[in-house]
Amino acid sequence: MSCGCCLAFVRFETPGYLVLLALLPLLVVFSFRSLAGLGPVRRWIAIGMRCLVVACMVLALAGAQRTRKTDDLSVVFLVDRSRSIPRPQQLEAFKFLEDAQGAKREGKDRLGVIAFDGKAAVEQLPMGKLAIEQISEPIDADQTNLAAAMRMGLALFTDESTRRLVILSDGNENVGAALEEADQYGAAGVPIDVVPIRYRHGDEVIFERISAPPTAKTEETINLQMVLRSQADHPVGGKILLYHNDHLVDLDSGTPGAGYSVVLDPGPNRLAVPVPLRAAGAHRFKATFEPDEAADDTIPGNNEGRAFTVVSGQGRILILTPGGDDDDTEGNWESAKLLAEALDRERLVCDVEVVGENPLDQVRLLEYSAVILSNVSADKLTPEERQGLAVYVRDLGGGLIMIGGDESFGAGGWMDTPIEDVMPVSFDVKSKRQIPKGALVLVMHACEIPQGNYWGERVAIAAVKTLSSRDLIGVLSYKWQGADQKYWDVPLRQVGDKTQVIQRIKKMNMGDMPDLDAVMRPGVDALAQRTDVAARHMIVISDFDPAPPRADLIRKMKKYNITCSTIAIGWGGHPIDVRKAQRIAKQTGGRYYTTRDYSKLPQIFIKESRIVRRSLINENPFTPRLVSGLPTTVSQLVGEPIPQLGGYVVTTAKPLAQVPLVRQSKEEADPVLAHWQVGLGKTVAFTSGMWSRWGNEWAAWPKFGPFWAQVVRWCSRQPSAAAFDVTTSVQGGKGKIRIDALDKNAAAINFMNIEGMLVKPSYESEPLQLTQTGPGVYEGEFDARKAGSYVASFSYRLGSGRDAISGTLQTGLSVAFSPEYRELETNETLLSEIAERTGGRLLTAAEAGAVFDTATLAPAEARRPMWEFLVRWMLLLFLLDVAVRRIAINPIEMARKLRRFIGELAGRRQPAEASAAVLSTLKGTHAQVRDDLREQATEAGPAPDRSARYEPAVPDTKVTEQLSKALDGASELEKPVVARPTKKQTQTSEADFTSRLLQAKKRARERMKDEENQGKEEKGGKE
Amino acid sequence: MNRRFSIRLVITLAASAAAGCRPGTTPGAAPPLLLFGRTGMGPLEFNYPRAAAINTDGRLYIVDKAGHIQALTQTGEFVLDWCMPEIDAGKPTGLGIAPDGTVYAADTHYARVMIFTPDGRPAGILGALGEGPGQFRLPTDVAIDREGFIYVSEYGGNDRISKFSPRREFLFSFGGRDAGEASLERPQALLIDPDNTLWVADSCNHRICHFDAHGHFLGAFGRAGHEIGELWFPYNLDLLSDGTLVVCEYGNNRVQRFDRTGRSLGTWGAAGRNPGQLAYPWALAVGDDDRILIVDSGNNRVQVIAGRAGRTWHTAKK
Repeated sequence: MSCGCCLAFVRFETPGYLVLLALLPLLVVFSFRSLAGLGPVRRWIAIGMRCLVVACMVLALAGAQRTRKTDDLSVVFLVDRSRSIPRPQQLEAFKFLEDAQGAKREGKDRLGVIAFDGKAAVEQLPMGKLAIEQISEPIDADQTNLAAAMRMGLALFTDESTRRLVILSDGNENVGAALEEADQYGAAGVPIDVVPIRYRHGDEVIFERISAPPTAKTEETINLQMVLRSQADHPVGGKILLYHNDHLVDLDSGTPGAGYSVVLDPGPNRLAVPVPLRAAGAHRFKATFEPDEAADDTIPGNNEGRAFTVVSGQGRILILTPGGDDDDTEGNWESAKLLAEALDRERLVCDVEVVGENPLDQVRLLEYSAVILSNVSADKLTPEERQGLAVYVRDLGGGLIMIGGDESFGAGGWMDTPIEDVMPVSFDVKSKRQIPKGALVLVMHACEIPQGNYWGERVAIAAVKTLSSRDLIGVLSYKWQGADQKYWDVPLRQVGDKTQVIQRIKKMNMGDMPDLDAVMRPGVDALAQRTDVAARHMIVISDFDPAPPRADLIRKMKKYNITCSTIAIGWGGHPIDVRKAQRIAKQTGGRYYTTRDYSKLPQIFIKESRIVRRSLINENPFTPRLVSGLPTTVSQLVGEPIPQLGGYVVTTAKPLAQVPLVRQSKEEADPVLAHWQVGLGKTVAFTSGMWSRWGNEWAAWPKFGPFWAQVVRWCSRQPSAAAFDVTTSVQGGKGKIRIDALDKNAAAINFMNIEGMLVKPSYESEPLQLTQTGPGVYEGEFDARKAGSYVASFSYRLGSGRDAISGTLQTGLSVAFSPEYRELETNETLLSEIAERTGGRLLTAAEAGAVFDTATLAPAEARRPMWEFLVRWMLLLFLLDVAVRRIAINPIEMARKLRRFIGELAGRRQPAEASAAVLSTLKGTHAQVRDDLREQATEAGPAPDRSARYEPAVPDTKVTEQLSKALDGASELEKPVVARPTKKQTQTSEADFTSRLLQAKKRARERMKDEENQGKEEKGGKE
Repeated sequence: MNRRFSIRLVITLAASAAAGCRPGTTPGAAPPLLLFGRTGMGPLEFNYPRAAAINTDGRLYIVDKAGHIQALTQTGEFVLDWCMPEIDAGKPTGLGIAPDGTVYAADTHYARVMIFTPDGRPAGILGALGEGPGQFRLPTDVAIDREGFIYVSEYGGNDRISKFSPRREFLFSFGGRDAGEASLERPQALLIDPDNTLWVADSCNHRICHFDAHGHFLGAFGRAGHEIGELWFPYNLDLLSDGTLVVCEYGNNRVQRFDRTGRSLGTWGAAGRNPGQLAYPWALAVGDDDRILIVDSGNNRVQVIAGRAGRTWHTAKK
C-alpha cells in the first residue's frame, strides 16, 4: 500500500504495471495493418476499443484506487480493566466514553471500544454511537498488556476515515512493550491521546518477598528472609503469620497466639525467621501480614508471600485412598492403613489421606518421594490433578504406584487419562478372549443450561473415554429431525477405537425434549435386545421438565436389569424436578445426582459409567506366579510360597514394562505386578489389592511388608547426589534459576549437560534450558507472571563410567500474588511517552469532548479500489471491439430503415393496396431483370478466357433504379446498397475452376491412354 | 393487501421458488405466502419464539425465549413490545388473549400466569407454585372464553386444566395423569371454539382431546406416529373458519389439518431450514382470511400459509 504513487484522484498500488501502457503505440501500429480491410472509420473505432481494453487491463493490474479526502473520524478507546485500577476509577473511565460521545459529529464520527487486562477484547467495533452500557468483566485481570490492546486497536481502523486512539489506563503494564507499539502508531500517523487513570495508595503495606533457600539438607535450620514495604509515613503495627506445610508456626512462644508482632517503619523492612527442617521433601512456607489498623493497608491482595525449600533424601510416601460418605467399598481405608503400617515397620514414613481432602499441587507432591493410589477411581481426582500426577512422575522424577481394587485401573475409569500413559500396563483389554462386556446408553437433554451443547458433548466424551473398546455405547438426545432415527446420535455399538464415536458425539445437537419416554424407549429396547452383555446401564441428564417414562418402560427396565442413573441439572433460578429424577433412579436401581456446578458433570459421568466397566474385574481366586528373569523388586519373594489373591483387575502389559508377577491362565498371563521407568520417574502397577476382600492371606504374610518396602524404595524419587548451590529469584515477570556447581574439592564443574522441566502453576510443563554463564555457573530464566508455584526438575550428567557425575535436582520458586497488586500509583511517564511519540495529547477526565476534535488531524484519504469497475469495462469494450470488426453497419441504410420504421409507427398509412402495388412492381422488376439477363447472355458471345482474373460485375443502374422505385422512395443519390454477390460468385468461379481442372485432367488422362494404345498398336504391327 | 405486503409476497414466492430448486425441499409442499422475522433481540427479531396469539383487532402477539413479547401486524410489521418481569428461571410457553384484549402469558417456570394490558402494562398475576387448587407447577397455556372464564393448562406432575372465573377465582380442575380416558400428559395448548368446546393439545399422549365447559371429556383423536393422520408431540392448535382444526406438531415439524372427527385433511411443512420447512414449530395462530401464522421456533421466523387453499395441504393421494 505504502509504495503506491498517485495522481490527483487516482492512486496505484503497484504502479510498475503502468509501464505496460507503453505497448499502446505498438498496438496501434499492429492493428492499423491487421485491420486494413475494415475501412477507415471502423478501423479507427476498433483500434480505439483495443487500446481502451488494454488500458483498462493495465490500470486494473496496477491496482488503481479512487481517492477522496475526508475528515470523518474514527476513535478507538482502549479501556484498562486490570486489577491494579480501583473500581471507582474504572467506572469513571467508562463515564469518559459517555461524555466523549456527546461531542461526536453525527454521521461523520465513529467510536470503537477495546477493553484490556492481560488480554484485549473488542467491546464495540467502530460505529456511530456507544452501544455498550458498561465494560464487560475482566478476562485476565492479574496482568496488563497494553501493547496487545494497541495492536488490536490499529487493526480496528479502516482507511476510510481519520484515526485516533485514546488510552484510558494507569499505564502500569506488566506484559508486552507499549512503547514499541506506539512507534508503529507514529509510523502510521495515528495519534494516541492518553487519559491517565490516577490513583495513589498512600497507606499501604506490600509483602515484597519471602525467600527460602531452594535446597537444603535434612535437619538443617534455614533462615526465611522476609521483606515488607510500607508506604505510610508513620510506623505501622501488625502481625506476621507463618505457615509451614499448611501448619501455622508459633513464631513467638512468649505471647498467646501464633502470630509475630512487628512494627514496620516507612520503606522496606527486613525480617529473618529461623526454621528447622526435619524431613526430606518439599517444605512450603506461606507468610501473611495482618495490620493492626485496617486503614494502614488498603490492598489486602498483596499481603502474602510464598516460598519453598526442597530437602534431599528419602522423602515421605503419600497413600491416597477413597473414604468418607462417598466411599462405596468397605475396607478401603483399612487396606490403606494396613499398607502404611507395613511400610512403617520397614522404616518408610507414610501419610494416609482420603483422596480429595487436600488438593494435590506440584509443590505438595514434591514433599513425597512416591504416591500410592490405593483403589482410587479416576473421578476422585480433578483432570488437573490427574495431569499433575503424570507430570510429577515424568518430569519431576516422582514415583507412582497404583494398587488394584474394584475402583482402580480400567474399572476405575482411568482409561485414556494421563495416568494410563505413564503406567506400565494398558487399562484396556484388546485380546480376543471372552471377557464379558457392558453396555451404556446416555440420554442427553441440554435443558437450556448455558453452553448446554458444550457440556453435553464434554460429559458424553468423558464417559466414552473411560469405557473399554469392547464395551457398547449408545447416545440419545431429542432433536428436531431425529424421529426417523429414533433420536440416536450414536446407535448402540461397540466403542472400538473411540474416535468414530467421539466424532459423532461432537455432531450432537440437543433439542428441547418434551418427553423422556420417547427418547429413553429406543435406548431401553436396544439394551434389552443385547444378550451378550453383563451390565446394562443408562444415564439420563436433564432438568426433568420432560414428561416421565411410562410405567411399562420402567417395568421393562427392571425385567432386563437396566439400571438408570439420573443427573438433574438446572441454571439460574430454573427449577429442577428433583422428585422425578429421584423416582426414576430409585425404580431402576440407579443413582441420583444433582448439581449446578457443571464442571463436576464429567466426573459424575466417569463415576457412573463404571457400572459397565465392572466386567474388567476378575474375582476368581488365584496364586500369582513369578516369572523368570526377576528384577530386584521381587527378590524378597524368590523361593517363598506366594499366598493366594482373591481377585484382580484385567490389564495388558505394555511392551517395555517388566512384569515379574502374573496370573497365569490357559489363555494368557495377566500382569499382577508390573513396573517401568517413564521419563525421570518410575511407576508400578499392582492389579490386585483390597486386602480385606482379595488379599487376607497376603496381608498376614510375613513377606508383605518387606515386599512392599522393596517396591516402594525402587519406585521412590532418588535423592540428589551432588550438593549444588541453587538460587532462585523473580524480577520483572521473569523467574531465574542459577546453579553453582562445585565438586568436593570446590572446583567448578564445567560443561555439564543439564536438562530440565519446568512445571507451571497451571500444571503444564515445558523444557527449561540452563546455559553455562561462568565457571561452574548455570543459569536459566522463564516466564513467571502468573501467581503460583513454579517447580523445576533437572537431571544432570558429566563424564562417563565411574567418575561420572549424574543425578536429579528439584527446585523452584513461588509468585505469591499478581503483579497488579504491586502497583501503587499511576505510571504517567509511560503514558506521556506514548502520547509524545505519536503526536497525541495528555487529556484529563474533563476533556472528553476533545477526542473528536479534528482540528489537529490531517484529513484522511479514503480509497476505493477500481479493479472491478475496470474489469467490467474491459469485458464490455472487448465485446464492442469484436462487434465493430464483425458487424458492418451502413449508416445510410440504418437511417433509411429508421425512417421507414418511424413512418410505420406514425401513421400505419400504407393500406393493403399499397402493399399489393409494391408487390406487383417487385414482380415486374423481377421479370424485367430476368429478361435483361437472358439478353446479356446471348450478347455475351464466347466464354471468357480461363486464366482471366475475376472482376465483379458493375451493377446495372437500370435494374437498381427499378428496384429503388419498387421499394418506394430511394433517390439516385440515396440508392440502396445491393449486397454484392462477391462470395457466391467466387464460390461459383472456384467451382468452375475446379471442374475445369478436373476436365483438363480427364482429357490429359484420355490423351495419355490414346497415346498408349497407339504405341501398343504400333508395337503389335512391328511384331 | 397493501403494497408492502405485495412486495413481501413477491419476495417470499421468489425465495420459495429458488428454494424449490434445491434438494431438501418437501415434495409437494406449497410455499408460504409470507415469511417474516429473523434471529435477534430487536423489533421483528426472535430468539426461539414459542407462543403466539391474535386478538380481536387482528394484532399478533409473540413471545420468545428471551421473555420478549412483541405485538405485530399479521403482515409482519412491528407495533410494540415489552419484556417479562422476570426471566431468570425460565420464559413463557403460552399466550392467551381475552375478548377485551387482555394478554395472558403462561409464565411456565414461575408457576403463574402474568396478565398484561394490550399495550404491555402488567395487570395482574394468577396462581402460584403448588399442587393444590388454583396452583400450578408448569403452566403451559391460557384460554379465555367469551364470558371471560379462564382455562389454564399445566404439566410437570399436575398435567391438568384449571378453570377460573372472570374474577380470577378458582372454580375446578380436570384432567390429570390418572383420569382414565381423560388423562392428560403435558397438555401444551388450549383452544375454545365458538360452541364453547375446549380443545387440548395433549402433547405427550400425541392426541387432541376435547372437553365441555364443565370439564367433561367429550372425545379425542390422533395416535402417535409420523404418517399423515398421526401426531407426534402436538404443541398447538387453532380453528379455521370452516370449523376444521389446524394442529402444529413439534415432533413432526409440520402443521396438520383435521376435520372435527379427527380425519386428516393434509399436512404442510417438513423438517428443514428453507421456506416451507419448519424446525421445532411450537405454535400457530389463525389470522384474517384463514391465513395460518406458524411460529417456526428453531428458524426464528413466522411462516404464513393459506389455511383453506386446497393446494396448501399435502395429502397421501398427492
